[in-house]
Amino acid sequence: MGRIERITVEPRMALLDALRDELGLTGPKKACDRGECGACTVLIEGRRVLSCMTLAVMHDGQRIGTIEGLEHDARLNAMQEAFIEHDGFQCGFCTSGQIMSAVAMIEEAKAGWPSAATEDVTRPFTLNDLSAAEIRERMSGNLCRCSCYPNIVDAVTEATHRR
Amino acid sequence: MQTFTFSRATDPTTAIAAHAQDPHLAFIAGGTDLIGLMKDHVALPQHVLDINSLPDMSRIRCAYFRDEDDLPCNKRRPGSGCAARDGLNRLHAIFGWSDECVATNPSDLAVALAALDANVIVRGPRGQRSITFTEFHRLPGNTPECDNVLERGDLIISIEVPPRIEGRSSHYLKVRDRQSYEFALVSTAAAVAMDGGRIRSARVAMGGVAHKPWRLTAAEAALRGVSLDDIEALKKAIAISFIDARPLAQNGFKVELGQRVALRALQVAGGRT
Repeated sequence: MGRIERITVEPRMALLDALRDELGLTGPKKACDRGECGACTVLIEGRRVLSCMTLAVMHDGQRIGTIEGLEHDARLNAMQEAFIEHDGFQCGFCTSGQIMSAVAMIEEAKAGWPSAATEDVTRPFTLNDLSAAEIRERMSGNLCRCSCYPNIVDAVTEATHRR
Repeated sequence: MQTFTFSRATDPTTAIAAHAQDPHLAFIAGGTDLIGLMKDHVALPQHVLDINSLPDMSRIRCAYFRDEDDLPCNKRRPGSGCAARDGLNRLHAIFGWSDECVATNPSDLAVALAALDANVIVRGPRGQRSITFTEFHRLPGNTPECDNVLERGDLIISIEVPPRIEGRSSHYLKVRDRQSYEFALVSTAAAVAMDGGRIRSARVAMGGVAHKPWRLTAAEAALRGVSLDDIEALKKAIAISFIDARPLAQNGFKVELGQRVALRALQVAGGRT
């Protein structure tokens, strides 16, 4: 899945700008451009990264995933469907970042990563421990000015347990 | 961003030599601090060296440091003055500040590392050395542009946290204006070794109060033998470390808040034995 792209950019071009302006992938959004809102979240080797705060040249040769790559065979990914079912967006500007972040966040939880909200860090974290409080903490890097947070939490909760 | 050339480091020795020789070269790792500073034209490297593929590391918090209108900031532009000293300083230091700089270190992790006396392993042009964490960050003095003791060419190889007897019972308590995505107004990393209900030894470091994580060394000594139930004795011990607090015009509340946060963190840590 995915395709190899070859572009030539200045060192100072952020990954976000390379994706949007050089590759036409406008799914990731430039909202704050300072790593504070999460709207530009993409996956690099499966890990969530703020694409406005890293240089394109730093990721030469790495697998980069954007929202455009989530659908498969014209079918939406489970997280995308959950966001629609639970009305997890209003204006839609933060949405691609929310979804990319949530997808990676679930992998982090599966891998046993605790968060600042985790009560007991002496035992391994599991997907069953992903409560609403945990989801809110782990998604706290993705801001939504339309305040869809309750519905976003519902969507992420559903997608977690649909696996 | 200003233009710059870019390359990837292949080994620590070459990276260190490059950094030592070129004052306009900056290392980039995660980039979430440096890229922001470059976008704001606060950091202006001419060459960026990516150290992410080397085997086996948030700077300082003061709004004037990043100010686009170039208000006085000795950290950003040495000699220009300190706008926060008599300006907006609610969030700033109550310990260790100078008239040249009243900023605080914003890190959470650094406070914990300071409490546990971690070691920073640094490799430089003249070899490798270990720096005790409490000596890694500097007080501003009259050279606030230097946050830490790293010199040109120095590369942090690793940070080691030795097992401490206090390490098993610890707590980090962070108090901030917002519930999320916010630096500490005041924070405490507390680690204790207990003897029944009494404190055998304690390690207490504060964040949000100084240019470096602030160890409450005097309080730690006074806390030995104190019972966790003896709130007055706990408060008295903590207060000793706050005698030399020097609040600014807008952050006097940090003196009281800091003591309360330290107390609560100690109680939680002690209760975890």
